[in-house]
Amino acid sequence: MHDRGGEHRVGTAFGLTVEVEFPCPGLPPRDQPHPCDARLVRVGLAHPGESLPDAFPTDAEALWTVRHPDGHIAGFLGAHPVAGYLFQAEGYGDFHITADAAVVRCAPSDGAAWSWQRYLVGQVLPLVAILRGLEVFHASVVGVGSVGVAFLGGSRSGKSTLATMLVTRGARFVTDDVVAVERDPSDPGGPPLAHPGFGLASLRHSAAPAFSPDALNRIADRIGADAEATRFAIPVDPAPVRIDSLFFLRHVADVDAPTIEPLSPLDPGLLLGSVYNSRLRTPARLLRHLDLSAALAASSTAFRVNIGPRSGPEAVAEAVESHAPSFSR
Amino acid sequence: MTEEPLTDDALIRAHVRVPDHVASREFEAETVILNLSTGQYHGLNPTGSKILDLLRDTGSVTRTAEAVATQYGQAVEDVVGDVTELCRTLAERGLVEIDVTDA
Repeated sequence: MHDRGGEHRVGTAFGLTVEVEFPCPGLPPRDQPHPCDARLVRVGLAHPGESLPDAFPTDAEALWTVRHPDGHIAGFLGAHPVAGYLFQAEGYGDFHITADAAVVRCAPSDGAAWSWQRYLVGQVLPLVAILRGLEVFHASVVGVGSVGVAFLGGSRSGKSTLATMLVTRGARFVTDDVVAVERDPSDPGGPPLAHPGFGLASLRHSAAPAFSPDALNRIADRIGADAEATRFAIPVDPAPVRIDSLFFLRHVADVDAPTIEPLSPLDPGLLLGSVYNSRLRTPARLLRHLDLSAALAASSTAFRVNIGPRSGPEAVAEAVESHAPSFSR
Repeated sequence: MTEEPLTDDALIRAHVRVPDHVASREFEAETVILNLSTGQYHGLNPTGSKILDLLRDTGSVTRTAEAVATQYGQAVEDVVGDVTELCRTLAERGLVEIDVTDA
């Protein structure tokens, strides 16, 4: 039985106003009134025993399917023009998004709430943001004042670790792993807005020794852990930021200390390849992704960060601080 | 029946159109072209991007070649070959449509 918790909670994340009917650590506070109220999404639990897949049309388009050798589904994302979208994620549960992306219903797997909510926050709500007209990039972002510094790279490139380290050193947490971006309605031709996500970050156990317990305890509350990482809740200011620096992380074998090199000109493929949830490939979505990639490239300074096998997170953070324009203001 | 390849003369006289399913955005050193029908991305250097813009505006290989020649201070006959070659490449990728019916 999952805790519905009684009262509804409302917050702002990924450019959405999110109303949840259950306890949801990391949901940022909501400014009142907030422009994101126009993108309200209600998140609730399915009825006990209800099967979301059974109610989903069998003629839905399968955007993504992963099966075990015996045919059992490990992961699935289906799309139907009337019924909406269905996520099936082994170990996390089933999640349904209505066609207008205004309602999400969750049928979680057994286990701790913080665990299945990782999928809600990390996959389901980012898809909602895309469906509601934002574009989502695979990036972690920290803020310095009203300006954002973004870290991009593949899984395990160190985005989360670097962002967390910078927060222990005084930066503001904006989002981990997923950033929702849109054109500023008040300045459509100017730098785009990056919206904070949930105040949640994952720190891999392999990276944990680089952090003192005191430093982590000052910035975050531990909410759970699994075999790979510890999950933290971190306070988030829901106000959007304008990203002025892009750092593309990569691991290389032949450097000791981390090195940073300007990327000028920036290869558009680096931003285009940082798309989050590449399964949804409607023309409108593809165009928005191209448009916002170009807008980010035009309004940001880009760097490559080369991280060697012995480059600790603190050294990488120091290198970023010495290069990102916003840290030197 | 095998379609006859378009000759350079026919291409020079043809109407050229950039269809609605083609979008582009400029980056620092190149323009990225997106074919919304196929989801494929293509890159053009600044000169190629300029030629595509001119094809979109003029609808004509000849007028495009004349404009490029003027801009770069070259003879039209020195430029038209590059323009027709790019036009063919763009057509092969569905990024322009060539109409020879009135040519």
